[in-house]
Amino acid sequence: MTSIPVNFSLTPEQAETVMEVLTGLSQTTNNQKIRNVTRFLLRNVRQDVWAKSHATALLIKLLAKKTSQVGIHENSSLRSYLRLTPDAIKFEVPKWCSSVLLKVCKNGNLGKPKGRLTTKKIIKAKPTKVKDLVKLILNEVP
Amino acid sequence: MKCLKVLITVGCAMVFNTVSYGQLKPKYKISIGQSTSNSLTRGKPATLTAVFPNDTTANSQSINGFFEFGYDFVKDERERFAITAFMERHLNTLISKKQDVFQAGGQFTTEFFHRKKFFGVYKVKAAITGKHSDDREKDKTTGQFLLHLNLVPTGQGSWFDAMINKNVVFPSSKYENYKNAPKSYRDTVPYVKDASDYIQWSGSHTVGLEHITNPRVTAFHLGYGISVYPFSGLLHRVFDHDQTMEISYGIDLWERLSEEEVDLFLGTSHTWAFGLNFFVNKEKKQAIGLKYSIHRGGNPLIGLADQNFEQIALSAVFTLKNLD
Repeated sequence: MTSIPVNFSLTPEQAETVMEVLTGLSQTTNNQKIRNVTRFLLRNVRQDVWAKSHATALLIKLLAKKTSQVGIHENSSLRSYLRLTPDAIKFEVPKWCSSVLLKVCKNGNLGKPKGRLTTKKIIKAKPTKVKDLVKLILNEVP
Repeated sequence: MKCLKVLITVGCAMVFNTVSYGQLKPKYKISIGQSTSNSLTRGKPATLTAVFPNDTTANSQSINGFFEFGYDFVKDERERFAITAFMERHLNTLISKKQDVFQAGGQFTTEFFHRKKFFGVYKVKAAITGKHSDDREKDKTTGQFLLHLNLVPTGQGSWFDAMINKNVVFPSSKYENYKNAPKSYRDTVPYVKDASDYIQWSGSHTVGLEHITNPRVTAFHLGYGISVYPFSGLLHRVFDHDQTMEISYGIDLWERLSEEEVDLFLGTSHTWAFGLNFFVNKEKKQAIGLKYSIHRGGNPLIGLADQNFEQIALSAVFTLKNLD
């Protein structure tokens, strides 16, 4: 099957509904082509919409717990707002991101992640905001 | 001449030290600040003042700063060290006991206890400096060898981390964070004024041993400085950055360890300052501002005699490229 790029502009809530419908459709039909297409669409919706919002929510929850800072959002600065020192970004953040990645893959039934987030990957990406970390996590989602 | 030989030896030792590290990734850095002596003065801005009277009175000026070029060597994510060469100028003809010192030398900085299992949430940063100092006012040259240590927090910056480290400001700016939030977030969550709107602070410290060759003297040096930023978040609304207004106090204590009496200031010096920072970039460690300061005491390293004076100066601190 040739891959066709599919773009959705869905909110996380709409994505949940679309995912429910697609799952139901793929399970009830015997047509192989429809099953393949629904599976493909389901994977896209999961990765593009659900995974991003889920990873952001999980990461913000984890960061709030670890830094005891409230009012964190995706544009929050890791250094000046969350007060993460360069060492904390190097040694603590990879652990936190990896745990979020595993949870996202498990909750979304996405399969095994491509790899873990290591210190090396974090340093190379030079993250400054929470959304940079989310982007790194999504890169590893299968 | 003897000083020069020692400097060359120290330089060679540093070079050979780098050879023993296998896969190093050197990254260059260029910095400007007040003095390379220790991490406390490193974080302070370089200052420049000049007076050009129209009558027969001589021109007078004050320069306090260093220019530094060097390399950061990164062995792995946790281990690194830096070697830099610098030139330092401390000239002040605006005061009664004039100061005119030119210094050049090298510095080696490294970190201890960075692998956490040794030292909890702090690591120790050490700076070893060797410099040749030319005091043009007293017409004498001297060598200076300094070893300075300070604690660097490795975890999240608590209020205490902010008290001892210039790079950590406490409380963190809630207003700036709110301003940067996506519109969807701002539409749903209203902004409530926080402590950071009214006050923020940061401090720095250093503990060191200093040896001066002419006159020969060894001293213990303890330095501490604290900056308070009143109405930080409220002024953010006007100047678009935090830490616009700055009130600071610094204390330096020199205790003579060698027995001989010397003609150098070894005692306690205090500095009070009030300043406005017009441009601040926290990520890049850059700041430009205007500062009014009151000095009581001297400084044996930069040829400043024991005296009281006040000055207003343009101040600048920046690092073009650095690791942290």
